[in-house]
Amino acid sequence: MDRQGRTAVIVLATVYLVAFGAMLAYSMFMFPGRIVLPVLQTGWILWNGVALFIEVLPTAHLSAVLLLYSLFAGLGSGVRPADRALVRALKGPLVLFTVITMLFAVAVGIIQPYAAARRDSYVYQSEFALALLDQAQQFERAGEYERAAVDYALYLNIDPENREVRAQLDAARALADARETESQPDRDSVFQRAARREAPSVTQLVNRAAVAMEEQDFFTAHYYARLALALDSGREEARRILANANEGMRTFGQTLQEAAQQQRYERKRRAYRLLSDEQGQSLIQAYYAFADLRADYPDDRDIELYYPLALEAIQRVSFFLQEIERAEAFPTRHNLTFRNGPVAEQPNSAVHEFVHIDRMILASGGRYALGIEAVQYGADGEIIYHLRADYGKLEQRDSHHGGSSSFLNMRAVDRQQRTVSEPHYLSGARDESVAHVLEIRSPVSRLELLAAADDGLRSAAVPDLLQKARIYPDFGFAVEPVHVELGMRVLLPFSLLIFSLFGIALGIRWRSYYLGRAALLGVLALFTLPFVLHHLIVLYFYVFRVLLAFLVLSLGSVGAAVVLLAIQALLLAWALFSVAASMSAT
Amino acid sequence: MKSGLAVALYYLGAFLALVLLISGVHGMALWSRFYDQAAGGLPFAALLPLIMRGIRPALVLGAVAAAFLSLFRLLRLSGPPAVALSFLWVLLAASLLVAVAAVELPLQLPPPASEPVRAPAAGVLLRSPQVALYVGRREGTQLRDVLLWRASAAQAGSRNGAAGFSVHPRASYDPIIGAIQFSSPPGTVMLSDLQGGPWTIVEPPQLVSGMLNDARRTAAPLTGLARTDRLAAVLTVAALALIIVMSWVIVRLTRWPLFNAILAIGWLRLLLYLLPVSLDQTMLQALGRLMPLANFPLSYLPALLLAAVGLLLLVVSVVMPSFSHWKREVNGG
Repeated sequence: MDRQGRTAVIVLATVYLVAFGAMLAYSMFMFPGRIVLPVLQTGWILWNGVALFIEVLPTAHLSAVLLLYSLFAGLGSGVRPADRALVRALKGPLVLFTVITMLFAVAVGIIQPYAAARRDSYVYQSEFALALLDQAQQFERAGEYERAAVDYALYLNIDPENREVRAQLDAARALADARETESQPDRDSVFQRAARREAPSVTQLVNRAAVAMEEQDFFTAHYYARLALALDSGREEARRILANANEGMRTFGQTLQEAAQQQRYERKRRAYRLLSDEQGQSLIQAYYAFADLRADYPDDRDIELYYPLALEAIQRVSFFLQEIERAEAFPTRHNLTFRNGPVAEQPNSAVHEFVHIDRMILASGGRYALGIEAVQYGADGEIIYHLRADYGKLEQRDSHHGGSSSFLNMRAVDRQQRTVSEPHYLSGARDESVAHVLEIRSPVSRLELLAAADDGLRSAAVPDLLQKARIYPDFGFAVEPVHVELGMRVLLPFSLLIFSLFGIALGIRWRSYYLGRAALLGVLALFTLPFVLHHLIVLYFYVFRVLLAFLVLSLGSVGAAVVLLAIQALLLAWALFSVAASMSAT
Repeated sequence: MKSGLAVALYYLGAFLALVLLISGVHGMALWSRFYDQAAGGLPFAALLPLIMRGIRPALVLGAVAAAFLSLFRLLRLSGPPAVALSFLWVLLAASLLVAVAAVELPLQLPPPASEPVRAPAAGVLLRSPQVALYVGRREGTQLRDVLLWRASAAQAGSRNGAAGFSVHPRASYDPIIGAIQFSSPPGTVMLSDLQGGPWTIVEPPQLVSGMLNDARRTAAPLTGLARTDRLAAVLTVAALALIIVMSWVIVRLTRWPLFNAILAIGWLRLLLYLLPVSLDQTMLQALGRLMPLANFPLSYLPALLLAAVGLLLLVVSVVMPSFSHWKREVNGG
């Protein structure tokens, strides 16, 4: 590398460093201390600084090029456009700025979205961590130490050096161990899970059922036989004991003299029937029945066995309102209104379905929706159904048409008040078995993209923009703003190269021959130049935004891309001619 | 004389090019903001009247920007600059007068059938925190299968069981005010209150809208002055032109042309920020009370203020080292 090349690299690197330092200082000043945890402060400042630096890079770069060619780059004697000297003089800067342009394209396409995502993740993590802490404390107050310990542990993943929380975790674990609380969330049925907890093999379960049967302990016999069948439905012995236990339970009341015991027995039998029914409303009633029994007969072993099963069963068909109360502090998206994508079997159907969600909470236990309203109508505005629901829980499952969908379960159970919140149909109706569930024809992650639509597209990463361009039409949003934004992202690297070349031309034309005496002005210019240039650059990009909007709306995206590239090529040619003219005039 | 003519020609060329560029961008921004999917027809045919409409505001901005470019052009020419600056002052004042007068004496254009307004597109969900709107089909001004969501109705609904969503088999679009009107229950939704339409794309960033607002705030009192007191308006415009042309002082303030260019652009932005203040009636009344002449007409005060600044710059220009000396120093001679 010759002397000029070294000078260029030093000047560019210095200006970049000053710009980066300024953005870091600005980030330190802007640090949202009330939202982001102190442990994440350095990361937030660093990544916000990186994201902002890339945003202001065109300004910093043009400032650097102007200063370089105006103050530092010696060009020797004049060169005419026809001279080989011109080609030689242009070669170095062109190579350098092309490399910088390519790096800038990578920075805009990959590093800036990554930095912005990291920065945003610190905000999200902080909100999440604080909400976890709040939730853990609620669990602890409710005596659910194991769940509190899980939340404390999750919090410590984010803030590992927090001694106070670590002490709280240790305390919660100790209390949980003392209580021997069990928790085995998996996808098996409630009976299968209980069976695995109870015994390592089906044979042992059958043996226990047989022993209980001999002792005329019909509930225990029924319990173990039912668990054995859950693991091995073909086990004949278990089936026989189950039938005998059922019969025993039925006849037990007739031989028992004590009325109170008979009543208890009846209540247990009724509760068990409800649990075995496996229908939504029955399971909710079963849960309440076992909860009552547990309160009335705290020492009854049968009830202790069945209550956890009822609890798990109810959570399959509904969710507890208390989950939302605990999730209140988690990050929230507001005001989602969208067309619920086309039905796979009827993509061109005249039927439209719209959903509105007032608030979507992104909690550790799942995604919760508050203030839900959905309407489906056909041609001529004829309403097929229209529902409102106060609460919902979003779960991702495979839909019946093969894709991945979100299902909004709108049946919420209030454990304290013993009420069930179901969707209220204002008009029309749906099949009763699915009336409390709404299929949202999108994975949950995409739903968050729709929620982010209100934040504007200018802060979205390119991959998100590409995804939005794909999904927006399905959800009823205009796709043209996304195409314009994508066009603007493509424009950025081209613009940097054009700015570089015009910067060379103007720098040479307006160069100082009094470097020694201009030093003070140089320092002053270093700080004023970017502010002035930033106004011009913002104006330049706005002009292109308007042009792109016009082209996308009038010619479509492909036509707009072609015209945009042609204009960029023309500007590039003009910039090259300007450089040549400036050099030849030197 | 030669350099004076060259600068004059350069100014006219730059003025024309800039007016076309600014009015073109303005026209495209208007076209996109009021884009109507259902209008049909060639987009470029609809664009032309909008460009013509944008010429008037473009005249002021084009004249000022062209004057600044001409000052930089003058730096590269030989000979004394006085004649060229005089030519430039006359041409700039004339351009600004044309721009101001264009409001009172409209260009010979047929009046538009209606002002452009935002139009709803079928199959696109438009939203705001308060309202969401979806038009199923549109036939001219008649809309079919319109879905409306209102936050106020949804909030009331949580108390009385009503709903935020309402489906309207029919609604009408009023192209005069850019609104959707519903008959049952009666209601109106202004499209300008909604996001998600093409108008969202061309919303200017804060820096640009700040510049445009300052330009508007400068043009409005000047236009008002032209209506009430034409002589005062002519004098104000002449004084304003003098300030801009005498920015020549800044264009050759130091021996580093790049720094001068930065200062000049900064000065232009500062002028755009300060001019509305100097034309503000409250400010003028306060200044009027300080005038030694009790009956001095307020409408001449802006001209007086601007002329004072312009003359100050003129004096500085005379006191400064000569242009030929500056050129020798700048070119390393």
